Amino acid sequence: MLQNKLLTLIVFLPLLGALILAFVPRGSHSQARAVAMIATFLPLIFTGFVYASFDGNNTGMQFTESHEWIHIAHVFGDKSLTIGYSLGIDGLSIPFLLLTAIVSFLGVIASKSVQHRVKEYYIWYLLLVVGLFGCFVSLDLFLFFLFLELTLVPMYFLIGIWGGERKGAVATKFLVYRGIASVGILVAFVGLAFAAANVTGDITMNITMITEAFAKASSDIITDDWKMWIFVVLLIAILIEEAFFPFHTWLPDTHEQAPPAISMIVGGVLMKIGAYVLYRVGVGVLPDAVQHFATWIAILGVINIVYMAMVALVQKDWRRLLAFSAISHMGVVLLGVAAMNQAGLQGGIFMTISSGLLSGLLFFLIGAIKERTGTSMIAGLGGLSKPMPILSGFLLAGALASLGLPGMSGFVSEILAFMGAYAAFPVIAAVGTLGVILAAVYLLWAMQRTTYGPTSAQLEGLPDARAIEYVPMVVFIALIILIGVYPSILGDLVNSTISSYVTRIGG
Amino acid sequence: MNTSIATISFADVWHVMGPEVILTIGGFLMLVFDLFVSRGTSRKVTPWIGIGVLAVAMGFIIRNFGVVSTEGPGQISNALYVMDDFGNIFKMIFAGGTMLTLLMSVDFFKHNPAVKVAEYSYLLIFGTLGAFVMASSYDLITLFVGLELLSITSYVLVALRRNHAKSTEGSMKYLVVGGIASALTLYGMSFLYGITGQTNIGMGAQMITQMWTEMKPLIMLGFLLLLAGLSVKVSLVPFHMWAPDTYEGAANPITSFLSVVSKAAGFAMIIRTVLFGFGREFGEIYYYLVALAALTMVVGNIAALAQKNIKRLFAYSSVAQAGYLLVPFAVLGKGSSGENIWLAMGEITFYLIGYLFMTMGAFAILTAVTRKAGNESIEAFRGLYQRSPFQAVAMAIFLLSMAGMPITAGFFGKFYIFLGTINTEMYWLGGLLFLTSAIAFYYYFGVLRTMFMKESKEPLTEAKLEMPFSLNVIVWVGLVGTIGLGVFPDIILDTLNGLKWFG
Repeated sequence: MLQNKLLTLIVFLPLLGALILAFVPRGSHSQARAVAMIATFLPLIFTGFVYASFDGNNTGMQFTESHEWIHIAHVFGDKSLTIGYSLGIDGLSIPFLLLTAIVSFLGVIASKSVQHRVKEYYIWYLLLVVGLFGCFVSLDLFLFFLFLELTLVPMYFLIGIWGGERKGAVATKFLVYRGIASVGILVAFVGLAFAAANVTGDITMNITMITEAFAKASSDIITDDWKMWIFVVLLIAILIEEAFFPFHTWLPDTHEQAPPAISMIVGGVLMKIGAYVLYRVGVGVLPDAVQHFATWIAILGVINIVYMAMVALVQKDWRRLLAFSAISHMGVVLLGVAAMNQAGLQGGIFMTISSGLLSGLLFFLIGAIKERTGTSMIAGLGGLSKPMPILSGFLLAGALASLGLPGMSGFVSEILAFMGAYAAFPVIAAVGTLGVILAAVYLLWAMQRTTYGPTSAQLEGLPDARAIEYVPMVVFIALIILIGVYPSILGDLVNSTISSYVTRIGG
Repeated sequence: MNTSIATISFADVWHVMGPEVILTIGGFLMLVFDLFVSRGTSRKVTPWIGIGVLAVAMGFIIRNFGVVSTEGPGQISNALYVMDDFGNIFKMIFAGGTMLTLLMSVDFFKHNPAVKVAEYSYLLIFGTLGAFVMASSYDLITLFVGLELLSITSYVLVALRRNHAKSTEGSMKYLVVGGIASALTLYGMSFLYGITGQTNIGMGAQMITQMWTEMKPLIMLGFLLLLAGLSVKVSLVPFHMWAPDTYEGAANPITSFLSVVSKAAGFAMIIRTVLFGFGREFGEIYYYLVALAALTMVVGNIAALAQKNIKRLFAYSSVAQAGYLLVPFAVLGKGSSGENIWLAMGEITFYLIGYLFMTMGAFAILTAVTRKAGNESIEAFRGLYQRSPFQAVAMAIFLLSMAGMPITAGFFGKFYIFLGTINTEMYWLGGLLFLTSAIAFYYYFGVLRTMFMKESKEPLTEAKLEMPFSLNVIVWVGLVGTIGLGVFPDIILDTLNGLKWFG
């Protein structure tokens, strides 16, 4: 059956591509690029298959594939430890899978500007993509962690070799922050598996079994203290992973120094892994703990929404501005999760996906503009709409979507998340809406300085978008508008899964 | 006390000490062989005799698995020497480590004609014999003899590059510190003997239990002195100061011998003496081990951050690894049930085996790289990926394993140790283990950065590494071991868990 091999294919085709690339001669850039393109396009096609035959009403895992990988007979006395190669997707993971497939393919298109050590670049790029796909389809926490770590090493090199002037320091910063976040995630995972073993008997890292075990266990089998501690560790790890205040400083640096295509991947997919873990493990396995800390999470969310928006106001570089803007948007996800109701949780996912698409689009555009003008400093641009009407137009569209213009994805996400949040924390949510206003201010102000006004002499006569560049721009904008005007396209996928979470919280 | 001393026949000795007897005979054989053949033949052949002797010894050790001598610790007797799977598995590690050391030395001899090959080779064999004794002896006196045999051969081996200033400095420091350490160990043992009237570990433990309440301060003094002495051997902080200088001064194969075989032997002796020598009172003293482990992980990793010399970096890294290795044993004090002991032994030996593979592999590449560059700075690795892609990728895998990245032995070893800390509810120590590993990313990735990000200053064709066959073999063994243990850890762990550790 192809059905249950599909996810394996999606995950490992890029790896196959990387292996093939290892044998491509060093000088042949176009061959390397072609291999990378095929190795990300095929997974996109297969993801399309998955999407087409995905059953939105089924709350269980679909397309599952499971093999026992590591089995140690006696780990604690008579308890055994089983680690499985288990893949599968449900309503929560499929949007992330689609996002990964789309952004990773468009990222290859955006990598055109890489001219230096091309073959190596694509090898690391494809390895990164393997890690990203793997994270979202793993049903085993150990396997998930493995893929998460797999993103770390390629990212280090992608920033460190092909990054900007401070690449070395920033690559290390990235590594240390995310390395520490990984530690927290692993510790929390082992804690989960260990607690679940009280119910299942043996130790398993399978997320479905752990979820069931936690749902079944009464509080004297898995104590509330234990749950709270695991969640606190996990939450701190996610805060670092998602670059939330006060662990945020690595993200603007990363976006500023990473090559544009890698910025797209970071903003579009990599930064969404933390949100995915928050849903999958936080809401899915430890809903009581989320509920217990809900107010704090909401406050944290609002701090991020408002503070990051304020910081974005004073940024001089578009890339840093977008980084802070992305954190501010992801703050909405925290707020939505804290609400723990249908609207809030759904809004959180909408926001995650929307922010992923927007980051992909905006970082692509800024990369394209920087490639032509040599700068991404707002002050260095100005009057850009004259030489580059197309790029400026898409930038405006992206900015409008980002600030929540109705009819685009950002609006739907914010409405849903804030509706959910109002129901749960009216005051905190009201403060949070301040971020929406601020977003309009910093984005429109930056837009105005970038695209309008007199065109400086050195910007004149620069070329506008190339034909190939239309592909990412149009795809991103189309998806952003599609979600904006027809939210069910995303809602139908996640609805049932979210409902099942909400039922569990209520019951 | 009525202990009748039975006459020991050679058959008895052969039965319990087969591998040791082979090493002894083999060592002397090499010594004599050197006297009777020409210098050239001796240089060529002696190391291979050594490898052969070790292979035969390994065969006998494998035969001994699952066989537990009747004079075991389970039975209170005047046994001086025991045969159990704990000893066997450690001996396998020693023999394997020394074998790879000798293989690495074959290349070293070619480039250093001044080194006396035969001397060097049989000293390694005798050092390994000392390690064997440390793993299997059940008596303080024989344990100490084993320790001295290993230590003294190591001092000589470190000093073998006589015209090398760093080597002299390193060996001098090693000799002085090691001598003090031996004295401390012996002093501690003398206290224990004074209190218990026993040199036998098992009988000593009984006496210690009886006398614990009245003699506690003196027993503690004995324990701490013993522990301090042995901590030097395995380079636990704050007894690690010799390591960077000695590692830097010693020839590469000897450095790898020190960081694998000598360290593993120290661990074997610590486990043997502390676990059995203090019996039930282990629960009262384990927090010293916990403190040492925590301190070693933190200081080792932080000190490594500032290193510019690759061998000093590896020295501090090996200090940190000693900290990880001590964790499973230290937490045993909290609950040393039979099951927990088995689990801890499995953790320690699994990590040691993985450590053996990654260290040996890394040293093989390090040897080729530093020789090519003519210096031992990290910069010597500059642009290695462009110069010799395979070696760069292999080195990256060894370093990632040391750093604890998934699908390597190092990762699963740490993961497994972490499970043990949860089992004994020592969460903070497990957390610290992972946290310090995250700090370690910084310096391991520093080397990776030099290899992959910086570009070679010389033309690529000239800067390519020369990898002799023997070094390549070690790299492949290291790779297969590091990745094999990382991807299929259950194969070896099931074996380890099935061992009759202490009979």
